[in-house]
Amino acid sequence: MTEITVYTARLVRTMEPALPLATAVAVRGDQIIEVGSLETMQPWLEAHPHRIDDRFKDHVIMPGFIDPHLHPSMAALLLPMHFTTALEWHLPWQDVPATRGNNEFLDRLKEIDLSMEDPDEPLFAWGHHPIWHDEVYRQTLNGISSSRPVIVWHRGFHTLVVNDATIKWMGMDEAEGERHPQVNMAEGRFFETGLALAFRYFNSFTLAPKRFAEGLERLRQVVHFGGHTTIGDMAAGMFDLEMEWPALVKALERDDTPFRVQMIPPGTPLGGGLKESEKLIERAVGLRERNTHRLRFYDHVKLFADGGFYAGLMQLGPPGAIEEHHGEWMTPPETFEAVARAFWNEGFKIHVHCSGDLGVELALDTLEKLQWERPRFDHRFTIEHFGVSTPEQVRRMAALGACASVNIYYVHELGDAYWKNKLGHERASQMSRLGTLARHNVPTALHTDFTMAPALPLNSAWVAVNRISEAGHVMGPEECLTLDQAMRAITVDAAYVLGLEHEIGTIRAGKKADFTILEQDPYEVGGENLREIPIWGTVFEGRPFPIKHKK
Amino acid sequence: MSPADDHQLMIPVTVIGGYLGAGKTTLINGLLGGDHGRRLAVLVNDFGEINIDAALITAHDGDTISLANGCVCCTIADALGTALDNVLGLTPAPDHIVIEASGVANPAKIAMYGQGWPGLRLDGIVTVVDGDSVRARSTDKFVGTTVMQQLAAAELLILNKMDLLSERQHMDLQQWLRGTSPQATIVETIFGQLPAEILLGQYGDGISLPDGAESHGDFETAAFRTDRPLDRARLMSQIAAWPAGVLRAKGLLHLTDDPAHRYILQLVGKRCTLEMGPPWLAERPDSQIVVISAGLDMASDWLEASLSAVCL
Repeated sequence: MTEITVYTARLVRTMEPALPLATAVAVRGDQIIEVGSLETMQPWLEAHPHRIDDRFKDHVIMPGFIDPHLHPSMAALLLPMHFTTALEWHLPWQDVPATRGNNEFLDRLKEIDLSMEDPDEPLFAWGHHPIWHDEVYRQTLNGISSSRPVIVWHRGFHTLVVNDATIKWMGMDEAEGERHPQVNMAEGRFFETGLALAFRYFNSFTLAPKRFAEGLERLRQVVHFGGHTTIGDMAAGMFDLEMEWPALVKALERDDTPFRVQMIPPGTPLGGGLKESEKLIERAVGLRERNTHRLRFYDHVKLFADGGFYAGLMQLGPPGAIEEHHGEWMTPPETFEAVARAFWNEGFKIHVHCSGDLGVELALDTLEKLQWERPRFDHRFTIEHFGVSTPEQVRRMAALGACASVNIYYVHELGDAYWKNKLGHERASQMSRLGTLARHNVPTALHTDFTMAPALPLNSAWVAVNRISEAGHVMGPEECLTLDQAMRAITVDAAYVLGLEHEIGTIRAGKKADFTILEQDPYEVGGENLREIPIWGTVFEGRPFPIKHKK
Repeated sequence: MSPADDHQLMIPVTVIGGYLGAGKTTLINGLLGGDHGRRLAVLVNDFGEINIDAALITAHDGDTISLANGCVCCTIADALGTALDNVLGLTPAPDHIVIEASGVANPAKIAMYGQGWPGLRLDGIVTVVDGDSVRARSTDKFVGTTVMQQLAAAELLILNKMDLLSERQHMDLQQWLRGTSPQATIVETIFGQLPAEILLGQYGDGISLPDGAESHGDFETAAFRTDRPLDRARLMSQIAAWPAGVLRAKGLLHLTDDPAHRYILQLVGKRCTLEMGPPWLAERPDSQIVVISAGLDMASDWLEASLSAVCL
């Protein structure tokens, strides 16, 4: 039988109320055998071969961090691109500084241009936002390079601007662009439906198997770097599952990948109105046949209510927005209800993308009907994102047994912008209302929707505890979480939202030996400096994986 | 290639929008099974409600159903651009592409693909309306705004299920729709069946003239022909004043300001386009216009009177 390894530590934070603190954890294979101290676990150790591993004697062991909602394929598309964002990003291979103002933005592009070895390689830069960077135009980008294609992609993904060399590289006829109502050739700008025209030319480059594989390798590093041992791919196959699946297996199902990926497929194709519910269920169930050790489909499914929060397409209830606002539905409400019913009646755990309060309302109205028709306990119906909501909706969530998985980074990155341009202060400061969720005991996880927010759980927890906007304002202090609530939201409660609480999320006998190893104790450091805590690395299924820190 | 040739080669796109249950699928089923002589490519959100006689299906390969009459029906899946490229790659190319917008889409947004996708031109935006429920839907807390956008986007508004309304409700609805859809021409149906000429316009590059006025059910086709050249400005202002009963018009024109080229007139609802076509060369120039109307008295006489005024 496999030898028991006992990790002794300065402190083990189990996140189990029954035994919150310990100094040693015994592991056999991928499983925790006992938690406590070297003294208390003697009977196990006397009965079985074992060794003591004290490499964590100065460290704090926590349950492996969990991000229940991010998008590996989207990350694979984006991570090979250069980040030119208004906010700083910590990536395993690079600390991206905050870029503010038009001059700084253009300097940064120039710097990237000069750093690229191949003079013909297209320069894709992601992160432009007019609020911080002012507008850029085709002419401006011609100033960066007259020979290299330069493509500047908006932080919220809905616009891109290109230079002359890009048009040439695309082989696109100027006239073709000029006739498109959402392409401005003079400005080199492709927006909304015009983006599809641009990606028609870019896809063969950006989604080329080699580049996509490199992107997934970067994603693999990012996930480890954040201290995760489990993530949820919360719309598995978002581009094309048959293209993505083999790439995901190849990139992630490796002995040295220190995390698992729960695959949650969309219940309806994003385009819309499927009515053949039996086929939907059959397909969702059939996906499990391809499971590998780390990549697992199961009885969870993703549905979509309203449009995206960064894209500004959320559906807002009264009183709407400061300026004219056009929200969108990603699924017609009737279709949403029909598909939700089909999965509900089959016992699925349903996750619903909801950005605005009207989106939340649709999800809750539907849940209420389903509960009336066919009551279920412990159903884990989860509201995902939760940008704008009302306090009454939280109370309803509690009454209906719903969970929440919240993107808290909205408050940090968009808090000021949505205060000034969209929602006003009252509602902008109450975006991602975690405090109310906690007061109503709604099980709540934090997620990043990476690449919508940095995949750094301690960073998410930091925003949740402090609610400090990028400009330094405290947004809605009544909606803060306590430090303990925030740490639960990236461990035990995140496991609960993913339906994996019997396996992961806390450190106790019988669970997977998944740990995040910290250099400091979050509870000693306190909420204010939470995001500064260095991460040594992780233990995944019993095996230590140190993070290789950049020089 | 000149822009004029371009226009001739571009495949027209008609977008059919409207809320769930309005009758888009009935309309599309009619087009797919119809005896209209054109090879349509119809892009739908899913095959679930498409109802095609199995005997007509010649091939069914995942995303595409091919029919004996030359039409194909494809699912859009998640990427309209990809679906359009797929049907543009068919041999022979389709004569006309019909896109079914999702029940919550703004058809004006989908129409941008018709305006901007390589090889396509926009023929028109059709919004299908359930006459019985549209007013209730227009104030629905979830989809009220969406429904109003769909109405505002319409160039042709197809009113279904009008038999369920009283005379009074009928008139109220007509008046209300003139406010919500100022750009649209309204066509009424009971079973959602309409001739392809109304939905898609006249077939092909040429024009087919009926002898005098032809009547099909509630719709009338009238034609006008003259050897005399037309004055562009007077023609356009005359067309702008045409009554609401004119649903569609197509013309091949000989204009005074560019007598060397044909001009192609397309009218859908109230939107009128005039594009340069191929040169007349040796051919003797003339002007022909065909108009489809509903509820217009003496359509031929009216058309004759309207257009005689713009001949020089």
